Amino acid sequence: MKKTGKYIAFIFFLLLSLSGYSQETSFYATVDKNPVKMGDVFSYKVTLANGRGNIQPPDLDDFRLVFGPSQSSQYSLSNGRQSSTLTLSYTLRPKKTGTFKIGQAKVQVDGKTYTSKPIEVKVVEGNSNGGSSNYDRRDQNRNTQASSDDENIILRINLNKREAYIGEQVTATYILLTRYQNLDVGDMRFPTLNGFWTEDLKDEKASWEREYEIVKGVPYRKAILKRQVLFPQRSGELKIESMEIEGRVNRSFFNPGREVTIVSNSPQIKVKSLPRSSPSNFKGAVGRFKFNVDVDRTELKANEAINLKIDISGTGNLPLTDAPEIEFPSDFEVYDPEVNDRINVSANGVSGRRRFQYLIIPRYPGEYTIDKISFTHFDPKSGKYETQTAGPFKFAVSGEGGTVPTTAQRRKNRVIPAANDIRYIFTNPSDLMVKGKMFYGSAGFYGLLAAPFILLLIFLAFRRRKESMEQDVIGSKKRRANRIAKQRLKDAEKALKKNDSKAFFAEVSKALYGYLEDKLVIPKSQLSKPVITEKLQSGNIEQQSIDKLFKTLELCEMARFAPMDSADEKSIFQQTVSLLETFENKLK
Amino acid sequence: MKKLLFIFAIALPIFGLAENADLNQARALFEKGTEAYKAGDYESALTFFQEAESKSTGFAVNYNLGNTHFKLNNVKESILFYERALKYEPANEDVIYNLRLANDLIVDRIENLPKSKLNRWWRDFRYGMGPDGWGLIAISLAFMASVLLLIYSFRFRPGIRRFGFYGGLISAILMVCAITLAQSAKNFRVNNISGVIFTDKVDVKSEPRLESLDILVLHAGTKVDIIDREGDWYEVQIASGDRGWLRAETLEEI
Repeated sequence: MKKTGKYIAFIFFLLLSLSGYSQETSFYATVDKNPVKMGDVFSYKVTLANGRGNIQPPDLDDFRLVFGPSQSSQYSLSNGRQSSTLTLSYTLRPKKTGTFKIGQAKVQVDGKTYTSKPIEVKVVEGNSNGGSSNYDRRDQNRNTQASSDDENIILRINLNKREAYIGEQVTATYILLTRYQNLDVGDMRFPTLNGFWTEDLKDEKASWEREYEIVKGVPYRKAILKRQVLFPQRSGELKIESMEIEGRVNRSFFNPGREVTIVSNSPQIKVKSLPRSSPSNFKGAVGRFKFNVDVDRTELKANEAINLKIDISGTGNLPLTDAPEIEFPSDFEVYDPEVNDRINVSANGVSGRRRFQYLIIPRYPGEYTIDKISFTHFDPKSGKYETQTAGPFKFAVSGEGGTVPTTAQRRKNRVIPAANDIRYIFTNPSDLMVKGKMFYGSAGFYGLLAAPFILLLIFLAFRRRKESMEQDVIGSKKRRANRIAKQRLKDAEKALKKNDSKAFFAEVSKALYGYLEDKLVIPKSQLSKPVITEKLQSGNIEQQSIDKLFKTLELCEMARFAPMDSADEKSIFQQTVSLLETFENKLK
Repeated sequence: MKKLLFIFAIALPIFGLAENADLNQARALFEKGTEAYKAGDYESALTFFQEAESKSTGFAVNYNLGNTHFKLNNVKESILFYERALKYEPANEDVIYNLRLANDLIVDRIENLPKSKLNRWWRDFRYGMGPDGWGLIAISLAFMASVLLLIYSFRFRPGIRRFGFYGGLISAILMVCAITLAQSAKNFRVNNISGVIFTDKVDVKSEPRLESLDILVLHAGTKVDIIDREGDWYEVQIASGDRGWLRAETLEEI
């Protein structure tokens, strides 16, 4: 019983999987031209894929039916996938110009009603392009940015957002649509994206998709050329330049085909700047992130290593996210963090995680704390900044672990001024001077400058005069010595005649002393027997005369106290006169 | 001894005159200004310093005025007063630093030849002491020369006399040099050889005539050297070497 139950279950699942294998039913209507020129024919097709039912066509009264309806069906089986299509086609011709709506076609498959989308068909004037150009332009503006009139190829850049914040991710899809069976794509020039930081989706290769894309009721083959995630970097209206493709259509063995240049639209995106009031630790992370900090140990010995891991994970501009700032204690040696990314780029955007791994070595034992680490990101969905924090982390570092590093090994803070400001004022008022007054150039300056020289000259002149005067006094005294002596002798002669012996001897001794004083240049204070002898000897006077002189002087001294004969007085007078004569002759 | 007294008799009134009432007033104002600046009240600091500057002069008052103007965002005035302060101390680090900051804020950026260290040292040596400093050095040298010549005049040993003679001669020559330097320092300080543009925009003309060609456009705060004067017109040269004429009222002389 049990076994049978298992068996039944197996078959049930097999059937289920088989039914899953058959393709989903789809129902759509297409036209092969839009707009249609007046007088042209176009075909309207209603296709039912993977289903069976009775198609009810819409009202086609606005057009003249040229041919149809004709029905065709296809059945294919490839790689175990079975698919079938049933197509009902009408060939129609417009009746008049204008815009006409072809209504919904309906079909009932397995009790479910499917409806196709209504199609608006524009009918334009005649064969001239002029009439259709207006419509073309508008249409192309929406889809293909001008250039190729060829409506059979469309190149589109689709953005998933028209408005984004700086740093918010926007996905751009480059789509090629074509109705040509044969299209060789040559050069593809993707736009240079100024103002965006981009990340390409690398996993996809461009290929034609199985499904048709219906644009204005016309089916196109579709290929996604590239998908990119864009991060706007500045605010304002950012324009994405158009993309260009060089291609060649309808090339075959016999036909070189036709070259085409396809230009895409150039969509604009409005980039909003982030709100002003950003927290100070905001470093440009935009998206939705989770923040986690992990420390591998909190108790360790000095000079052992700590691993500090910061994980930022989520969706957003992860590749542009910086590590949050951490204030490490100054005794920690911190190496630059190792950045480890695991980032996926998919159609949903950039997501994954970025890890910053710090290696920290405390160099000295002690209790240390790393303060709260906080990380701020901007969430574009809510339009707010969000801050997450971790920590604080406490470390107990113990013991004398190994060597104490030299100062050279320790990390040093470079002192960089954070702001420029002028240096401080001077505060010492003694620096002030009187305005317009200058010592240099003033009379005082010149006076002081000249004074030493003037004083020098005065001094020199004074000294010279004094010297010459001294010279002069001695000369005249010498010259006058004899004359004075003679005068004194005359006075002595007079005293002799009057018999005044006291006066006589006084005059004689005065005459002799005075003469010697003047002639030999001996100051009165130094007038003594040895000085006079020396001076006379150096003046070549004979010893005899010197003795005579001193005898005479002695007699004069004695005579002052003891009276003498007048005859003696006369001989002394004679002697003095002869002595003076000898001296005068010999001394110069 | 008599000689020394004589020197004092001449020198005392000169230095004594400097200590007059104006200077004391200026010092009081200067101190008030310093207090206000310290407190961050730059408006009143400016008034005090300006009054002090009207009664006295010197490095400190000009430098402080420059700082105060800078703080009040009067960039061209601050440049003017920094330049004036440089006339008293041409190699003062603080002024040069602040002047550089102020020059970063003006419109004109003229390629300036950097001055070598030797050049700066020479400028400081030449102008730093000011004319009075050189004057006092000249006087000292005069005294030295006369004392040495006096030694020469006495009948000392020939060695000492020779020393007196040559020493005196060299001192006298150095004294002449010092007087020359004093004169050049006086010219540097007294003559207005440069100016600061004080109007927002000035067209510098090729000739001292309004109708002549505009050859340069200068903006407020730019320093120019005055080369020639012709009525109301000054011929100026900017740091890059270009010359032209402008009206005297557009410029404030340093």
